[in-house]
Amino acid sequence: MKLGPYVIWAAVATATGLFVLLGYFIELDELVFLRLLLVRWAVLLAAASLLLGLFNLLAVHWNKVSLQESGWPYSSLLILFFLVTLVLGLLFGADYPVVLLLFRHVQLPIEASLLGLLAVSLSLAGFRLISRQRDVFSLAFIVTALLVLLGTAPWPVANNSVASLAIGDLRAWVTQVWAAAGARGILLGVALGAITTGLRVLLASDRPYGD
Amino acid sequence: MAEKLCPMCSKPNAEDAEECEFCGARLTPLVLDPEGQPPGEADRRGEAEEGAGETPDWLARIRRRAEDESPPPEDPGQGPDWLNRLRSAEGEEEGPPTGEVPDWLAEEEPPQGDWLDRLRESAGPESSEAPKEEGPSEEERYAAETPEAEATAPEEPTSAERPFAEEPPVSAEEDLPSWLMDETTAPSEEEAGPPAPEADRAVDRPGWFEEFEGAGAGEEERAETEAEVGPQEIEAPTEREEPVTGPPTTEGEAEAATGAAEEAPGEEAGPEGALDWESFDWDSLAEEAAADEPEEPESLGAPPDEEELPHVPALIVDEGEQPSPAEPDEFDLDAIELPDWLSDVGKERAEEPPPEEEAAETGDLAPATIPSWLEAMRPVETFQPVVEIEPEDEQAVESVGPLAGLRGVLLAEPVVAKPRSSTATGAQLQITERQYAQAELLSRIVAEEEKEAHPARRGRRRLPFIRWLVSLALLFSVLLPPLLGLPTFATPERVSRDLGPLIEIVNNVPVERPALLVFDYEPGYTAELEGVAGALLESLMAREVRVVTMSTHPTGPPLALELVDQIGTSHSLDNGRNYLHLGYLSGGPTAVQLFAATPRGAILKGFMLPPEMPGDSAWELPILRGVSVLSDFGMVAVISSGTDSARTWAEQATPWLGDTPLVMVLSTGAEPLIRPYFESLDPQVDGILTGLPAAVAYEQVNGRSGAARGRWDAFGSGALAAEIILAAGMVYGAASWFLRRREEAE
Repeated sequence: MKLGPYVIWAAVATATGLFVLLGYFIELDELVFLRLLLVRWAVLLAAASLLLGLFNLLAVHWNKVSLQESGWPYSSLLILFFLVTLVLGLLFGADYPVVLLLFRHVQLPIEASLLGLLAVSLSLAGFRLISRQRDVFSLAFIVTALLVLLGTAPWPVANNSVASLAIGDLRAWVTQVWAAAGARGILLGVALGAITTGLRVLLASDRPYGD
Repeated sequence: MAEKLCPMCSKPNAEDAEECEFCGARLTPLVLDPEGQPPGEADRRGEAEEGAGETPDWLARIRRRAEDESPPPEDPGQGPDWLNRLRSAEGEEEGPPTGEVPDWLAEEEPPQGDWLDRLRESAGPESSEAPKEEGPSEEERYAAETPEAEATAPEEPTSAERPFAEEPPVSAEEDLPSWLMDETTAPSEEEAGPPAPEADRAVDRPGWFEEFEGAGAGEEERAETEAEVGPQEIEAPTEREEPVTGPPTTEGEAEAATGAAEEAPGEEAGPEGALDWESFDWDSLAEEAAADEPEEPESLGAPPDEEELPHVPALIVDEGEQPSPAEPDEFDLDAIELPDWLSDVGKERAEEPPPEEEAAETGDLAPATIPSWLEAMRPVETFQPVVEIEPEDEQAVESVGPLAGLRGVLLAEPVVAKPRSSTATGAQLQITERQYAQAELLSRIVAEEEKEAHPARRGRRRLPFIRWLVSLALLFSVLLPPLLGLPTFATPERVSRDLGPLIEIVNNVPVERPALLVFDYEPGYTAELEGVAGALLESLMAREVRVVTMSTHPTGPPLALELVDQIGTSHSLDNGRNYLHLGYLSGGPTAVQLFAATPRGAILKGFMLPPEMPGDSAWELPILRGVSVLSDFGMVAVISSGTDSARTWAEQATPWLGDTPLVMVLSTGAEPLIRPYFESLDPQVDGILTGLPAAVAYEQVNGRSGAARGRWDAFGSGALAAEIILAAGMVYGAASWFLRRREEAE
């Protein structure tokens, strides 16, 4: 392995990680102070990266409009409202009434509508799945969905009937046992992956900051 | 009598006949003699030997003198060809054939010297008809006009004495186009040597030369000369541009030059040598000329002083004769003695600047102008010769075969060696049938790719009936309860076991310590999470717990502002006093860790602060007084629609929470991933409130009817519609499966 400039970056990354990690285990004021200092720098870098992301988004859509690519009118609208919101926020602050008005009457309904369409799409997908692909897995999927819906949502009649309570218990068993078991497995995998990634970064075996 | 049959016509001929008298074919084969002489040469030599007694005396004397004076050649083949030819043809001076002498020359017989008269008289009747003017007459005339010889010259020649061989080229040039005339005359002028300055020329040039220049403009005389000489002699100068000054390049010229060099004082004899004019045997020369006059002269000969002529090509060359430019260099001019006057002339000419320099200096030469119509006809740029004929000296000499030794022979090597496409087919590619099929398939694919792609025909558009039906069903199901109040759904009577810890936590939050609510959900989840979070917030505000909001999402603060203001207004609570918005915390998980460690250092200002706030920072308000770390809050509730932010708070904030409870208010979809943090032995999440049914149950427990209950009917109606859609799908699938099975059975 050749030595290069990456040695400096690896040393910095490893030292930073070790200081932050040791701050969790060793109660030293200097170490805590150093850890908080590094975390504060990281927050500043994250804020700067957010700004860079915003400008990158603006540049991408600006090029799209300049080249008259497909969907350029939407890009032009994005640029327009981006600039309007940015200017208003920079001049008057994020709590300026006009900015709040735009959020409340533009962004909020749009995102809520998207989730409403998601509900429609999921319902239609369920219908097509069971009507066109009649196999065991499709049947199991649809039956599970029906059980969860019946156990979660109120019944128009016999809401507190034995059947309703039984389905309610069945729904709880599905979501809190089966689903929680699967989620726990996912979380364990995520935790193990995070540990492995952290060790690789600390050992400079993985250098996401480049060579 | 023996007869000899002709091999060609098979007719009998006399035994001693060499040629067939009927067809002219040669009967006696030509055999190369042992000395390498060509057969004809051997025959001629034999005839010459046989007729030795008939050799005239002058020729015998010349030969003897030549043999005596000249050293024997070491190698006859070493000399230049033209010189060898001249030697071989020595004494065979050619003269103009009979009848070809122009009339003007015949009529105007110039008075000449006695020597020429004697020569003509001794030459016989043929020579008198075709006098040989180019040799001695020119030299004589030239010598007579030089200042040194003027005294000795018997009489001054007139313009008519000028050799007619000089005239035709001049006349021929007049017949040519101007551009061609320039091309033919310009090199002649250049090669004729630099003309002397006008002053020098006036002094040095002889009179006849002055007359010649003056007469050079005489168009009429030239026209007459041109008409008398004939076309063959006119064309020759146009094809050759160097006969004026160069040495003889043809046999005629060579002979004339030889005659001039050996027999008469000429310029070609060299400036240094001085020929003994007095002792020269002019009589023998005349006899020689008369005796050896060729029957068919190819040219009229060249004047000996042609170098002195500025631009007149003096030689007329037959077509087919090629000049040999290498010959002049081999001509030994130093070996010939010239008179002093001629030597002086040669020296003066040697001192003259080159023609280009003089032309540049004088600049008196008018540039040639070509008429436009002639310029258009000039085929210089349009004509591209197919075969480039190399100069003779650059042409290869044939080395083998019957044409060995000849120059300019069409060689066979270029034809043979010229790369040509092979007529024979090369090795064919051996492919298998499979490879051939694959190649065919590939070519077919490529051909199809090159075809124009036609737009696919649009099929009949069908109305997305099911899609519209599902959409309308869901829309009406959620709109009917708030609009018509129908259908109504009963609230759940059973309380989830998860509500117990949550109710206990909320009821135990100290009033003097603010509760932190983190609004980390997207605006799309507002309908669900506002109902769930509203139930919790309602209970907190009912207990007059000060509420502080913040968010790690940019859209979180407005959502918090709207919900808290809505519930706070219902409880007559004021912003800044009963609740407060810290705003947006950027930085993701790192920012959460930083905020958990040092809240005051993470968020500096705040969001939607009251105008009557005493300071610039929200931390200066009484509601946050005494809060420096995360554990100073009475409760931390994270309202999240996703799992990431909930996990982040559960993992990053737990070390700084201390005894402060962490509550998760989640969407139904995020419950499975957060529940492990809640149901573990050492739970990182102390309470959990998930979904609208739990919120309705929480409100029922608290004895309040909040936003959760207001959305309950719509939620139940929509869920019922979804259940019906899924059930309908199952029925449709089962029916279609049954019908297909039935059809297959039938």
